[in-house]
Amino acid sequence: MKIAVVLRQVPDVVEELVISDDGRSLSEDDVMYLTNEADDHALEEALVLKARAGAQVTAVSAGGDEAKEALATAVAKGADEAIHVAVPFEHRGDNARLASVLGPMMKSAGYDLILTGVWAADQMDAGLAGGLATQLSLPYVGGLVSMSLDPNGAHAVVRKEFPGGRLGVLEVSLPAVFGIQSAEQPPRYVPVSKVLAAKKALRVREQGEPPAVAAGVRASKLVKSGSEAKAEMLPGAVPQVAEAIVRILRERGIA
Amino acid sequence: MNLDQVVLTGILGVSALLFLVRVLSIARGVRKGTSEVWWDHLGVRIKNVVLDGIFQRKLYRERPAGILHAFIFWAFVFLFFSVVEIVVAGYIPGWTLPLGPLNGPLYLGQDLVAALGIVGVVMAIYRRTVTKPRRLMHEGNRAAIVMLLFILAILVSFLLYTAARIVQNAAAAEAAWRPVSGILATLLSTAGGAGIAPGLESAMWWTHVVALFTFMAWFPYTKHSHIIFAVFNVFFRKPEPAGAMRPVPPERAASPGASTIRDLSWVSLLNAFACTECGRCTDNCPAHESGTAMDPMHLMMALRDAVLVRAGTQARTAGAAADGGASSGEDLFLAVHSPEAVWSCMTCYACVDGCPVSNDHVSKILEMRRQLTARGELRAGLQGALESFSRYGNSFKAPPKARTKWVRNGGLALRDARKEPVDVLWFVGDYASYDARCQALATRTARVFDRAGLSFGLLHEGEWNSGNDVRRVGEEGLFETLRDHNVESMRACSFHDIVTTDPHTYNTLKNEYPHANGGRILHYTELLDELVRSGRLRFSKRLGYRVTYHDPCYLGRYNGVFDAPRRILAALGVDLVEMPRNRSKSFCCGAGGGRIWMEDIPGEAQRPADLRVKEAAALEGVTVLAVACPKDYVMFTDAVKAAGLEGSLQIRDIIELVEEAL
Amino acid sequence: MIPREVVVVAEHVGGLLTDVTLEILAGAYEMARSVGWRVTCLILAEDPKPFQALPLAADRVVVVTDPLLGSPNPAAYARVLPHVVKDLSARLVVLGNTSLGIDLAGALSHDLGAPVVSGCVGLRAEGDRIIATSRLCGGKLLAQVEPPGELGIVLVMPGTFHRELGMRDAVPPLDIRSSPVPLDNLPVRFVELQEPKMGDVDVTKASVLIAAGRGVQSKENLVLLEALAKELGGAVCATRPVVDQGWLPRTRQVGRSGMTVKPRLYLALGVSGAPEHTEGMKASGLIVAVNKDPDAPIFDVAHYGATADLLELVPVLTEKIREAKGTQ
Repeated sequence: MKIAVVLRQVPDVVEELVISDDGRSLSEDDVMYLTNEADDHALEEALVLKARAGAQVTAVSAGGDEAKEALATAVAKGADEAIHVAVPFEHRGDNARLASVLGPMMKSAGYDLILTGVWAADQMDAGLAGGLATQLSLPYVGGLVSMSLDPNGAHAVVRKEFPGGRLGVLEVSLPAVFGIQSAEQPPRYVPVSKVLAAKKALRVREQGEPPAVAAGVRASKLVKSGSEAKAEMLPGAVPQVAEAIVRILRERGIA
Repeated sequence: MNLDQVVLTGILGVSALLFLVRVLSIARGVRKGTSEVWWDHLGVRIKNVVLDGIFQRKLYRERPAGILHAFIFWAFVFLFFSVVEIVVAGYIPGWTLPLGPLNGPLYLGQDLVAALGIVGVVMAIYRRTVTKPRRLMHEGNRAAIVMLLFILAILVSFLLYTAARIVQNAAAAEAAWRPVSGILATLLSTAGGAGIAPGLESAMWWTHVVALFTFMAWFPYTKHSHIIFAVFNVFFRKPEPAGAMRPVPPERAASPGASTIRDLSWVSLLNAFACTECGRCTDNCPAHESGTAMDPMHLMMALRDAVLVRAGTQARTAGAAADGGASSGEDLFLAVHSPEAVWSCMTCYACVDGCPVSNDHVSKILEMRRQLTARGELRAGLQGALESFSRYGNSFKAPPKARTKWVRNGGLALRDARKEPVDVLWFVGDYASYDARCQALATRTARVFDRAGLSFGLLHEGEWNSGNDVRRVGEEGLFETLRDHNVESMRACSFHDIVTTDPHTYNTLKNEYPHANGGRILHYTELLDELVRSGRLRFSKRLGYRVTYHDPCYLGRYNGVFDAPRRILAALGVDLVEMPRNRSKSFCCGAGGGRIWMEDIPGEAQRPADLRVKEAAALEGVTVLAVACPKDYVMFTDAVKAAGLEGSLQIRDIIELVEEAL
Repeated sequence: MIPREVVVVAEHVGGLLTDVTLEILAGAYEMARSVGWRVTCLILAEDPKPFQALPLAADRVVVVTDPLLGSPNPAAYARVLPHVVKDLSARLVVLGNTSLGIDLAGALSHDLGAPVVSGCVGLRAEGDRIIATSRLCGGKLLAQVEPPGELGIVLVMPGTFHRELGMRDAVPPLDIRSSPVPLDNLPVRFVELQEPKMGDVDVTKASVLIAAGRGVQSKENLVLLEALAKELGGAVCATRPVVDQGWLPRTRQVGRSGMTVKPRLYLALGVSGAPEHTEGMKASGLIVAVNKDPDAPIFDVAHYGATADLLELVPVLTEKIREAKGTQ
């Protein structure tokens, strides 16, 4: 069983986000990247499946140098293979383009399962997984929180989140692409020493030059939110705040 | 050989056999451990043996215990010679040790220590049956009392034996040198016992021999094995400072730390046989007192059992082939202390500090944590903190730039040590920089340093968490990354000394960082103490508060800084009342060892900080609990609220008091 | 000139259109009316009966039927939708940014050759241009995007528009068709939809909700919130991280993958306000948020906020409410 996991690097929002001078993108010098959280879950799910059913896990990361760091971490966690896809800064977040780059590469590799996060923090397009699936003419289901594979490798039974706390159970024929919402267990911790050791021994396959494709959607304007109406802040220490809240509740007839 | 001698030989033989079997099996068990250098720092080691092995100074923290143990200890030492004499006399009647003129003083010594020894044993029995201090009650009393009675029998029979000999032939028995026995002999004669003297001599001789050699055969199978091993244990204890952990050896990098007893060093395993089950460690342990599963004494006792496990008699662990044939009885997490207990430790060092035989409980816990971390089995909350350290250099998931927000908000212009030379580099610490409650303390510290005319600077964003607690959580690789980053930042700077406001930072900077420029590492209380004494910092008024002081673990117990903060408090004019548990007996606030990042502590009935503030609040008239560590400040402030003591007890950092008095 | 067609793809459960569907209808209708476009509400279902007399805010309702469209099977929807959308000559396709919507976006984009704008919190038209506002990076950035080309597809975030405006006073004309393509040999089979085990509390029915976020710090502290909830006659709900920790059951989870709630009072304690959570509660009557971080996004949706220590505040608040009730 061969599983591919795509790890995208997205801007770290803990750091202050700076809009570049063109007003429609982030400033390249100020952005710090980290692995998209849902993609981390996808990797964890792949490793869970590897432990359960024995599989070869290939970690594919897209981005700049920080994407190679992500590969070292993935290998330290247990991925068997590492592939890097260089994505120039201006194309980061463009999942349609990424799908067209990954499609041909994955077609020839013959993966049984392709996992990635159902959502990327920096996406404003259709996302990666669905487009990739369509390119590869594979079925796609997203929003998954668990899956089990048939011993013969022909099917997977997946649990998909629906609103209201409902779970849909679906049977999907493999090979398939899945968009992971959360893995069956939280993404594991891997000690720094292991990551450093993996980095030293890391052998990364670089994905070749992508074909020229039409880009996906691009922003015509990018601003920082938070300029919307904000809450009226109640000042003072705990007793004053409590009194203010009680007063507001009584005014509304709630208390 | 006559019948008596045959019986004697038999007793000696059986006793020696049982003794040797046990000692050899202990040796075999201990040898399962990894190798450890023991021939370095010989001066320190010998000093330790003299102070702790021979004079047993730690026992005097509890005066009666120290005295009674000294009595019994010296009795054993002196009477060793009498044993030789008595046994050989069984084969060669009348034989004495060929010491010439020294025999006399020897007999005097023996007589006196035997008498004192009896006093000691009676005191011990009294404590176990009447006083019943808590720490002795952790383990059953019966075995201990039986042992004490054996010792009593040995000592009493010795004195009665020599008394009986004196009655028969005072000169031959060297009565002049045996005052106590002499008195007993007189009493015996007066009571008309002259006739029974030969029979008494014989009976007491046999009683002595039987009691002694039964004791000899039995004691290595009990906690009294410390008689043999304690002194060695003290010699082998690590000579480096308490606050310096040992790095992970390169060959263990793939699986650091300890999962079975075979991963601990033989010195560490020897601890288990030096343990006297005195209970001081468990009694002093804040994790234990707050209700968690941590129990240092039981850890030692379980370790003892695990070391003696015979391979092949227990079920194998899953990876038995991989860990060199270790069985599940040797697995530390299954047989010695659970991961839950191991994570409950605050690394406060009260156990090690209190241990009279120099056992090191903390190093085992830390090795086990290294293994748990390597496996990714972290207590909830730790993963997030470690990942935050790895990315941002702090545990608050805040960007590095925000480290100096307190500087900007305080309107201070603080020098950047990376850009200009300063006298003192101020390593601020995470909590003082990022925690809203502590930022005010950092600002005050800056103002006080200014007033003292100190030439100081910060690393600003170049400072990352020092890594003290990261290392104690078992993430050695992350600690090295943090340390290397900080060392790199400091390399670019020009300064003499380093000062820090955080005792955890202080500990690792002082004991675990390389010292590039030969300057000193100071805690701010040490620095202020110097400034006050040299007159560079003067107070304009005396504060009249009634204050008690909490000794931070990493400042006091680990690094011996007790007096500098107290001198400052004295100079401030406050009325200092000592906490019942003060100095090296200080009771940890509960934040150390990574616990401040853990989300919940299973089993905890009462938080250590709550217990401590109640201890402070119980002191009559005390309105202020003074602290010198930002984590103490945070923990105790929360605890005061939780305990409803806001009106009656204020938590104030020493820097606040200093600024108030300027 | 033929008015442009906006196709709103509906979602339904148990014969009822979801709240999100009504919201996006409302948004599409408002946008369409501003530039003279028409709105078609497109429903894929097994049985058209439940949808036959709904006064939806649309110019017409098209129901495409097939036995295999009875459950939300993304493969079935993905096969049918492109054909229907082409038949309808759509200028804009609007879906909810939901579990199903996200599933369909990629396939639709590829089959229709049209770009997708997701995460939309704003949608308007100017002349022939469509201008969407997308929220990214944990809610910290807003991007204005104009999908180029003849056909655009947008995914609209729940809570962006008001569901009440998704219904009007008249029932639009109904057009029932069967699926233009056969739905055999689908690679995905819908097995079942599992309802959450409604154990103790139905947070969607509570009029007062006390929400526990990560700032509550530990399971033990929940008793403080329970006491407060009791005084107010409400219930305790939670954000996803709190449920993932096991402090509360999943039935208490509010947000994108949990419940959508609209209580009279939503008291968010230690809740950061990530979009995945706020989309499930932002329509609440009164939102009061307590969080140590003054920059927390929750304050963007709350009416009132405070940066006090919630563990201190809750018991004091509980006591004051008790006193206030005592004097009534």
